[in-house]
Amino acid sequence: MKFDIGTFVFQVINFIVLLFILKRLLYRPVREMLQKRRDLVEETIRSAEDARREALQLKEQHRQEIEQLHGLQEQMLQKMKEDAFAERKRLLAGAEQEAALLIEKEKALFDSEKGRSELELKESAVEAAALFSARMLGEIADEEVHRAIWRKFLAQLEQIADHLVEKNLRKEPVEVELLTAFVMPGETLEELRTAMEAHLSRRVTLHASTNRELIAGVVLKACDLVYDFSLAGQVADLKRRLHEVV
Amino acid sequence: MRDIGAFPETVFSLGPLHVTTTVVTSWFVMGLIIVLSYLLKRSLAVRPSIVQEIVEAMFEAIETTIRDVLPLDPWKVVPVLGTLWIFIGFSNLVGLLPGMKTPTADINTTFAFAVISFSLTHVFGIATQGLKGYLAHYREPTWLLFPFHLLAEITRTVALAVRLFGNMLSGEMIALILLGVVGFLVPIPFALLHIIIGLIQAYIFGVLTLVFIAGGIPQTTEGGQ
Repeated sequence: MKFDIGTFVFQVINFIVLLFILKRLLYRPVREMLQKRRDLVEETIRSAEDARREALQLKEQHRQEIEQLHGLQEQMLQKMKEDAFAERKRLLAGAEQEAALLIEKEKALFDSEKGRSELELKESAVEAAALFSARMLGEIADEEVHRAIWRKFLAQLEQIADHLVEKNLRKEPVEVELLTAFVMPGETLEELRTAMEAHLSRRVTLHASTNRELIAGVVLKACDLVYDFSLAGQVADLKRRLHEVV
Repeated sequence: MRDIGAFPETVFSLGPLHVTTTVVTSWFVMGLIIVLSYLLKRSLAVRPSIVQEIVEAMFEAIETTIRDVLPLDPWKVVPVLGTLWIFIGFSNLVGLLPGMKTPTADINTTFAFAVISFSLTHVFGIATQGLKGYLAHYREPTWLLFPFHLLAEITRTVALAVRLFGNMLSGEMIALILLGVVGFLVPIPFALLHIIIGLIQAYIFGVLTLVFIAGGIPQTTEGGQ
């Protein structure tokens, strides 16, 4: 083997040519592609980093919002508690006031009912007493009692006449209405009329009638004045007095 | 030796220059590399295929190796170093094809590559430091050692050429001898070994070139990426 300048030169030229061709055909495209991929990787990493940073920011923002919401929730709960406490207080006060009014009202109603019941009871008691008295008097009162009362009436006739005079009796004849429990004889009535004319010094017209409800006794009415000497009147008087006393 | 076909033969002549089988085979290798590069370029995409991923991984490995050694932009050296690796690698392996002769089994080829390597050392040295600055390292530590520097330059270039030539020629001759002596199947393991040796020799040639380039550039030089 010997040195051949031709082969040497051709190989050097071959290398230079191949270098020139590969520079355009291989190295530059591969380098560009590698650079492109590196840029892509860097861009991807940068994007991922941006996304991560953004996610962290969002997370932080979310955390702050959650904290704010918690604070707001605490405030709202506190306010609701205060409002509920105030409302409870107000409702209790209202309820107490309403209860007091209701109690007052019920008490007044009770007192009223009690008074009414007591009154009714009194009325009933008085009515019962009066009825009992009237019944009892009706049982025991007879014409004898009636005559005794009549005599008493005649004994007080003068006082009755004086009383009528005091009452400024002007009319003549004096109209006198006489109610008796038993039928009185005509002469007795005439005697009465005569006696009254004597006491009154005026003419007297007597209208006599019988009323068994009087039980016994007599009632005289003249010039709007009533002089009751009957047992019924006594019972009525008893009844009135019971009303006053009970 | 011509009988066993291990040495180049003249195919035709261009005036005083003889175009040997080595040169023709080198053209074939060049054509093969160019076609493969063209096909690769066409298939380049942002979403890479497996082939593209392998090629990109190789280039990234070359880039990383250069960046670790040289204080320069790696892509200033990648084309020449890559071309050396690819050209020598394909040349080492093309002899396995029937009827092909290994171009690197020709001392003229390896010498041409060694001279290119030698030139690259000085080109990058001068480009980074200037002519005066680059030549200054020949007087270190004293001018008296200049002849030894010169001798080292020559011997390491010759050693580079002879190492590659010796390895490839020996491999080719062993294969041819075995093929002639023991038959067809026995040389296959040696052929596989030849593949490994071919790739390793290409790698060693490229790495030594890189080391020589790095030796001509001070490590403090600015401009690296």
